[in-house]
Amino acid sequence: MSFLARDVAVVGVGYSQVARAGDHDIHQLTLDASRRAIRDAGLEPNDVDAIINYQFGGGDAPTCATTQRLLGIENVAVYNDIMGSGPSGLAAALDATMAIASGACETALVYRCITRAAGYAGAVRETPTALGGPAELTIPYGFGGGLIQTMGMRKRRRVAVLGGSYEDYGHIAVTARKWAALNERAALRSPLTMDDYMNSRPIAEPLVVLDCDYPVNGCCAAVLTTAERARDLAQAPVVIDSMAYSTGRYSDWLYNDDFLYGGMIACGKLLWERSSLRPDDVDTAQLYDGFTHIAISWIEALGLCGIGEFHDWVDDGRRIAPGGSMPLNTSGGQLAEGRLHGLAFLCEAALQLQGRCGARQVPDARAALVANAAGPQSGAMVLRTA
Amino acid sequence: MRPEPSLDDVHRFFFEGGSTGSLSILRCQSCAFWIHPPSPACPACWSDDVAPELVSGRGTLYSFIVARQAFATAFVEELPYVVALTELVEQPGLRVLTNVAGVDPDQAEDVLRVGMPMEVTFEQRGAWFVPQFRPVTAEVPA
Repeated sequence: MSFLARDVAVVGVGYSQVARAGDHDIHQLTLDASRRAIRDAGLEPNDVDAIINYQFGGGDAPTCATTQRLLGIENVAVYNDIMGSGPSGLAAALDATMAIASGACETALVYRCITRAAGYAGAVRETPTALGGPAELTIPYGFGGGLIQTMGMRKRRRVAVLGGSYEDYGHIAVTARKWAALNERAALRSPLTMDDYMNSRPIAEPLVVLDCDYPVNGCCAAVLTTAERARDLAQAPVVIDSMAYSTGRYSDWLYNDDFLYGGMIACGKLLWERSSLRPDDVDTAQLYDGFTHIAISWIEALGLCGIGEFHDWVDDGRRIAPGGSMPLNTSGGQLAEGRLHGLAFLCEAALQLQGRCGARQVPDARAALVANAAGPQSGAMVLRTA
Repeated sequence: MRPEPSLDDVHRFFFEGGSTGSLSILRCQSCAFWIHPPSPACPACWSDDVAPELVSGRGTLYSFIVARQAFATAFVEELPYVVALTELVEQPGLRVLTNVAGVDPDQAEDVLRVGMPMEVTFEQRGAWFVPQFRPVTAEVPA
């Protein structure tokens, strides 16, 4: 029994086509991923009584109501379009877990649909003429690009105050391609060297383009239900052993109290306090890599190594690569599989714990860590086999 | 052309102080907590009595980037430029976003160091004085 009032399990996952070019129809993408996830679980549409998704709200994903209609589901008891605040795609699964555990629903479909255009923060946009609000303090200084510049500042400050090197960041990017080479779904499967990384195009020095994830069109979906019901379904249940959110004080990307980690350390602390497992028990980690800095921060915040110890721990990349003792982002993550914005880390963890990952399968995987977003929007889960 | 701030009442004081060469930050008049970005009430004690007060204009360089890609049309011609955070001496964690004055962005990697002392200066844009920081030791071009 976990800390939840009822145990909850992931019982099905589904992906649409994931591609740089190709199908931009968010309805088709969501329909494909959702149908596959429900069928994967061995369920029928009307077994689903909750739909939750995370989106930016700018046409990047259909709403729950639209998805319900597309799938022909008679009624849903819980639904929520989580708009842009929260631990990215995992937010939908975290909410679904709480809704199921509380008894408000039995079986939830969660999804994150995203387009290449919505996932790309690098565009040059018309300068706002009428500022106002907090943008008064940023737009006049040429601050922009979503989190890009804040992540460049974090990369510089981390190395300045905690030590290590920019090659540490390169290990995240280089390793992502090693895993992606083993994943047919991944958008970027070509190998990458440390030289490629260090010489890649500077965006917000010291942040380079290969510190950033790879925008794609795609959707991933998962089905969650009670652990009790999960025993009778098609796939081996993947139980949610623990989950936690956190924000840190003065939640923000520029002005938050803990600039490097934000709420991530508090999130890790809560997560392990609630868990039946320990960091030593984890067989694979699927940690958000929208920026390389985020993956490194989660590794430390979740206790896989100590704060500031990543440089030594990563062992020139061997630790997190295929064959290493802490296989990281085995799908290639958002850096290489593509920017499915969070939920794909949960789906990959479930596939690993079910032994369905083929060439990239982590042998005898029984426990996985999943974490999404960062700083003021932190969320994480510990997953285990039943 | 770098954009001017607008006439937002909440931030007006921040861009007006430079007319007398001084930087102001919002401060709780009840518990003396400095509040940035501005807020209608003090997050530390919930007092509604908040008002701008002069600060020393001194701080340390918290971190910085050299922008090689612009995200707003007004800054395409400004590339490269530095975006930084200065932590003011008045309170731990009291950070102000800034560009860095008096340093060639192409030399920034060699000249700037996280933790180095910074001081405020002002860049006039239209009727406004945009607070900017420069290294205390930097040669300021005439």
